[in-house]
Amino acid sequence: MSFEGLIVILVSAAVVNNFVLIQFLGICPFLGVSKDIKSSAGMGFAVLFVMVLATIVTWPIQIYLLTPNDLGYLQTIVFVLIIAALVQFMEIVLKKYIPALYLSLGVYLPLMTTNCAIFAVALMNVKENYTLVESIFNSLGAGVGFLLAMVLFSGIRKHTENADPPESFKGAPLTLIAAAILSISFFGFSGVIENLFG
Amino acid sequence: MKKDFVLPVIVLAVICLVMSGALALINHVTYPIVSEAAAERAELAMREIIPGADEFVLLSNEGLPESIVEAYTTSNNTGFIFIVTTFGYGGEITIICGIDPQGLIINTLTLSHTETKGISDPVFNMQPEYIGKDVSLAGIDAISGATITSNAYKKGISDAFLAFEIIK
Amino acid sequence: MNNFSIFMRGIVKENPVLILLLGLCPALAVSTQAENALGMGIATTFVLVCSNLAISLLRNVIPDKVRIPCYIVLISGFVTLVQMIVEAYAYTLYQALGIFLPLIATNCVIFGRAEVFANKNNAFKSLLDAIGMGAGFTLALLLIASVREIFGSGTWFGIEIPILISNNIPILTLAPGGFVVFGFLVAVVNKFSKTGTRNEFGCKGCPQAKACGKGGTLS
Repeated sequence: MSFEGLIVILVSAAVVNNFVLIQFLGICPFLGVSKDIKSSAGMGFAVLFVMVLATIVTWPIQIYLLTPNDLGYLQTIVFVLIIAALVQFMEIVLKKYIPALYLSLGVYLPLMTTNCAIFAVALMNVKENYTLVESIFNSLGAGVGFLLAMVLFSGIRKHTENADPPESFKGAPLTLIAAAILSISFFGFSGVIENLFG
Repeated sequence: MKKDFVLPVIVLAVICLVMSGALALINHVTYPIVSEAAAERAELAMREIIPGADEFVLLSNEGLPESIVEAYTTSNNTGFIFIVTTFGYGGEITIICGIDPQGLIINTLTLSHTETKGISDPVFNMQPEYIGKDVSLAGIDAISGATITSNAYKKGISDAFLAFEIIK
Repeated sequence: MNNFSIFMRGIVKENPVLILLLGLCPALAVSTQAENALGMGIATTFVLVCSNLAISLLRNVIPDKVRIPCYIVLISGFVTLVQMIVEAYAYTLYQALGIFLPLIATNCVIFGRAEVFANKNNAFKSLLDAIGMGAGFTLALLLIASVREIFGSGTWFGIEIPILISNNIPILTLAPGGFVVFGFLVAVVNKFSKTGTRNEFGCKGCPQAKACGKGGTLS
């Protein structure tokens, strides 16, 4: 596929079809960890990293192992197990070889196992019949989009902390409504991508 | 210490095997139902495109453009059906296109797509305009505001024509 | 705690979506139409029941070391089972749920109940817990979906509603609408319940906190 096409995939996964704000994937960590910028960025990068890694491992397994042997129905089990194993593996490797990175990312790694966004991106690559390169661009875009949404949202939450809403709106409801408004702003991107290349 | 390690692995392995076995069994039962239903839906779609056809015959994909998933001819020579995939910006778009023996489009429908609702709707709504067009696709302009989807669609139809030239 | 209260707890006091704030991804994504919400709820309940039962029955057999991988295989296995059944016998639902059907495997509700309840209680209690939580999940989804469908498309379960259908608010069926409707619903729950929602999306409240080993350090 042309480089142009790859960029379209990346940008659309990152903004137009933003995983969190448009597709509702990865909401739990999004709402839970976005209270301050540092942890948001940390979580975002961790997700980005695991997404790309997961793609690189799950795609070949689907294309060269599962599909040719008619084992498509094992996809769910295999993918989730792989992602869980990857996360464990990454934790061990980072702890041993890049302790600094482990200290900043390590806390968020175990949360990746039930992060539906990572599982979703692996499923999407297969469903859309992407090649390996297209899949990698897709997961890159998805991860960048997640990171973007996290960091933007943490900024907004910092402000809502000082707000004084009615009693029943304190906490979760206010956060959700803020997310709604951020989501609307992302809708503006759809027009952009359609006309990106003339 | 060794037992500490062996037993957990055995338990995990047994659970995996039992689960996989159970799933293989269920798959055995449901797979025929799923493929039969899929074939029925495909047949229905093809009938919608060329209502006058009596039987659809699958052709080999040899020499056809890569984007052609399947090509069919009709046993009473009422036309050819092409199932084409093309890339919009949201992913794959699958189009089914019928071309009559004279090289004019009979009808074209979208089988699946994941483009943004609302913005890409005009592209799919103008499918009727393709009817009767020939390979030059004169008069079909890209919809402004939905350029990528429009161009993807046009490319899909063009590929169908390429295949048509090869087959006829 | 008596058996009936185990069941009711999942529906009201500890409703997974509205009080515990778990399983939000499907709750928001699939709740554009009441019919799909019902389908998703039933599918999730089915997996929840199977997994709770299996894990409860095997709780003395599964060694702690491989607890998580075993749970993953069991839960994903049941999800695959549901995938196959829905694809074969309810194709329109299959298309409507799309990618969220396999995503049931990463639904925190299922994992959470396994960790917190099923591996400590007998099969019958676990069954009740599963049915209660599943029912609570389904009801919450139905609630969100009904609001979004009635005011967003003017229909309910596909049946058109006279005045609303010509005065619908389409944005309610899109992403922002999901967030907003859910936010307001949680606010309503806050108003009427004594304990209120968890009010904290953080790791502290997540039943997996223990499994992560990081409970309490984030929020």
